[in-house]
Formats: sequence, C-alpha cells, structure tokens
Amino acid sequence: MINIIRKIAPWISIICLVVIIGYSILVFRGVQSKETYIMWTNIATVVWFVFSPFWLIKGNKKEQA
Amino acid sequence: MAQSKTSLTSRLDALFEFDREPVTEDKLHGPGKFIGLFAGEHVAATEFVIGPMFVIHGVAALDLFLGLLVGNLLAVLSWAFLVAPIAVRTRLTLYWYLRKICGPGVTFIYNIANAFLYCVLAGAMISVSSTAIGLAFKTPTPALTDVLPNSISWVVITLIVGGVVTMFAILGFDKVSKFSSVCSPWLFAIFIAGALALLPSLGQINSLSDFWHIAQTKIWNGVPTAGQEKYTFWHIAFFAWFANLAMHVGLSDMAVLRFAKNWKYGFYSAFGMFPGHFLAWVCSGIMVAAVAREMNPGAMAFTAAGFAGAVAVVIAGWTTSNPTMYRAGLALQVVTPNWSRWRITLIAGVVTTIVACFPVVFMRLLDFVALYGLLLMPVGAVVFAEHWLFPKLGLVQYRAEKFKMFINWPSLITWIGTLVIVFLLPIHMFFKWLPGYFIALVLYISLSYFSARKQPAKA
Repeated sequence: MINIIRKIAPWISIICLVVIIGYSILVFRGVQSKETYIMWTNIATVVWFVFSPFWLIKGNKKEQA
Repeated sequence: MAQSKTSLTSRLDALFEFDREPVTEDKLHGPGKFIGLFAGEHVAATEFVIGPMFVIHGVAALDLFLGLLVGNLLAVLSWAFLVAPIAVRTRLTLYWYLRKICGPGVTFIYNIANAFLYCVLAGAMISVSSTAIGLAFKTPTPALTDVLPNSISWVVITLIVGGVVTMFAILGFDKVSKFSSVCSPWLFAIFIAGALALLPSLGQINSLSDFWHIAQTKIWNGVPTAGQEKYTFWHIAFFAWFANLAMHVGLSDMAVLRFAKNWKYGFYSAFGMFPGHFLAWVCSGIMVAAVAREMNPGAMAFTAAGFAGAVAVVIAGWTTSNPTMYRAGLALQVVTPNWSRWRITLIAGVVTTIVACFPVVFMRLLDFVALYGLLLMPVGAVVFAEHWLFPKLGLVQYRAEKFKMFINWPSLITWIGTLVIVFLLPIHMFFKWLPGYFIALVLYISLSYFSARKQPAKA
C-alpha cells in the first residue's frame, strides 16, 4: 500500500498545484467565483501536505530505494 | 591571554570541524541539486513583505519591472563571477577561507555579527507569522511607522509564535528543514494564485495592455503611501541586487557552491532570483494593492487565498526563521563553551522572540536587509582581494595562516574603516555598499602592502 502511495504521490502533488493555479486562472477570467477557488485551494493544500512528503523529503525517497 | 586565544580558536574550529577539508571530487553535485536549492531558498516569508513595500514606497510600474530585471540579473552575475569561482577553486566554506586570510579573531567577530543579524532576521519572520495568527484573534496589526508594539495581544501572540518556533528549533532543526523543502513549490503556487485571484478586484483585464494600465494606475502607480519615501528604478535595481548581498558579494554561499562541478553553476541562482525575487515580489505587490495597501501580510494572504493563504504566511515565517535561528545558535556557540546546543538555541530563540515583538523589524525590513548586506560586505571584499588581486600585485597570500596570526589587522581595520566611511557617505542606504566595496578593496590592499613592508622578516 505504502509503495503505491509513494508511486502516485508526485502525480497527486502536481495535480494539487494545477488545481490551485488553475482555479485562480478561472477566477481571473471571471469563469469561477472566488469562494469556489478558495475552497479548492484549501482542499488542494491539505492534499499537498499529505502526499508531497512521500517524494519531496529525501529520507523518504531513500527508504523507497 | 595567549591561552584564551588558543581556547577560542579551538572552540571555533570544533564547531566547523565537519567541513574543514576541501570538498572532494566524489562529493560534487549536479545541476538539479543547485536548481532545487536556489529555487527553494528564495521563495520565503520575506517575499510577503518586500513586494508590498515596493507598492507602499510608490514605485512606478516600469521602474519596478526594469529594476527587478536589472537587479536580479546583477545578483545572478555576482553569484556566477564572484562566489562560484572562489568556491570551486578553494572548495572551502567562507569560515575556513576567512580563517586562513583574516585569522581566528576576525572569524570570531564575523560569527558574532552574523548571529545578531540572524536573530533580527528571524525576528522579522516571526512578526510576519504573527500577522496571520493575529487574524484569528482580531489583533490589530502594527502601523507602518510603529517602532514599539501597539497592543498587548500583539506581544502575547508574537511571544507564543516565537516560543513555538524556538521549541521546534530545539527539538529538531533537521525535521523542520525537511518540512520546508515540502513547502516551497506549494508556497510559490499560492503567490501566483493569490495574485491572479485578486487582479479582477482591481479592474477588468482582457489583454496585456489592460494589465499594464492597471499596473500603472492601481498597483505601482508611483505614489507613495503618506510618510513613506518614494522609490525609483535605482532603488529597486539596487535592492534586488543586494537582497542577498551577504551570500554573493559577501561570499557566504561558498558553503553551497563549493559542491559545484564548475563555476558556471553560479548561474543556477537565476532559478531562485527570477521566480522568488521577481515573480513572487510582483505577485505580493498585486495582493497588497488589492487590499487597499494595508501592510498586513496575514490579512493580505487570507484575502488572496483563504485559510491556505494565512497558513502560507505562518509556514513561510516558521520555515524561514527556524534555520536562521539555528544558524544564530551555531554562531553564538563560540562564546558559550560547553553549553549544549539546545541551550544556545533557546538563548537565540529568546533574543529573536523579543526582537520580533518590535514591529519595526518587519516594517523596516528593506532597510534591515540593506544594513545586513552592508555590514558583511567588506569581508567579501577582503577575501576577493586576497584571492584574486594579491597574486597579481605580488603580495603574500594567507599571511594570517602562514604566520599564525590571531587577527590580521589590515582585514579588521578594513572592515571597520569601510563601515565608518560608508555610513558617513551622504547617499541612500541602498547605494552605500557599492562604493563601500571598492573602498574596502583599496583599503585592504593598501594596508596589507604597508603591513607586509613593516614586517619584512615575516614576509
């Protein structure tokens, strides 16, 4: 299970960044409300901090190796 | 006296023992490591303050963009042409190279000066975090001109934030530093997203010319906030150049670049400068304009990105102040023999937290950054002269090491003398370092020449 999480963690983290910036672009273009953007930014932030340590912290990567 | 000098020297050396030897070929790092390091290091809590300060100081849009372009380019060139070549030739940290050149006495003074400056910098970061925590308790943020704390609740929050940061620094610097590596990409995304989300509140933007119009009229409109000095292209260019003066011209990034395969790795600093000291400053400038130019990083980030924005300010402040506090503790360890690391870090934390209670440290952050670089700049000039100019001028290098000097007096006189001269120069604080650098070069070469003539037997 943990190995699967480590494999998908980088992709989930990248998706989080895309969600944060993507929603702000939608607000900028007037397509989306600011409230929705803030909600998704908060969600993406939580998910980012759950998954990014699996691949961004060096020690964790070593364990994987 | 001689015994106390020996004891001081051995204590200093013991602290930096782990990096005493030049880096060997097998320990050199590739480009990826440097790109990540520079990119991570230069998107920090200070960016929430510096960008807004440019807006408050009434810089015009064209001056801002051109100034940041020129200043950051000069900073990258300083890393590439000043630090990197010396770092890869010596493969030493500044500490050990300075010891060879100036003697242990000057390295001791350098450490103490650095420790104090680190405490003030970490204090400013704790203040920035406090503005975000204060949101939850409706604490009034200090005004731009405040020197002393403006409320009891501000002091209490700052003491709590400082206490927590100190506790984490004591419990494990390493873990926080690992955690900060997780924060950098997300923090950068928050800067961009916050600015994009707030731009429509300044006016409708359908094209680049719309953006430029809003930038010129609503963000960087050239009008400073009442009581603030007006900044021009030159202020911005010089600020962007000297924002990390201690690291490039002051040569402290020898510690990092000694692991580079060649001097050209200095150019990788562009990966830190342009996203962090260009884009992030522009983004935080947009954010502050959208919140009616109120200098409150916590409230500004909360408006821009909600809870995630406020968390960004707290985390950015925490992850920046933590290593700074650790470095301050390390530097202070030389004057406190046999003290454990936790006790030193606690002292540094207490000093830092008290400093953080005074809003002047973050409201005058730009001046402090200028002062920080200025105070350490002469040391960089001394090392540059000794490394490159002495052989060309036929002067003996590393006299402090060769003749076991405790203090290389020409270097100490150069340091103090340069600072006295530059403080007397009737020019803006931001511009003082550049003439100061050349004054330090001339002073050190002249003093070393006369010193060598005075002691021909030794030379």
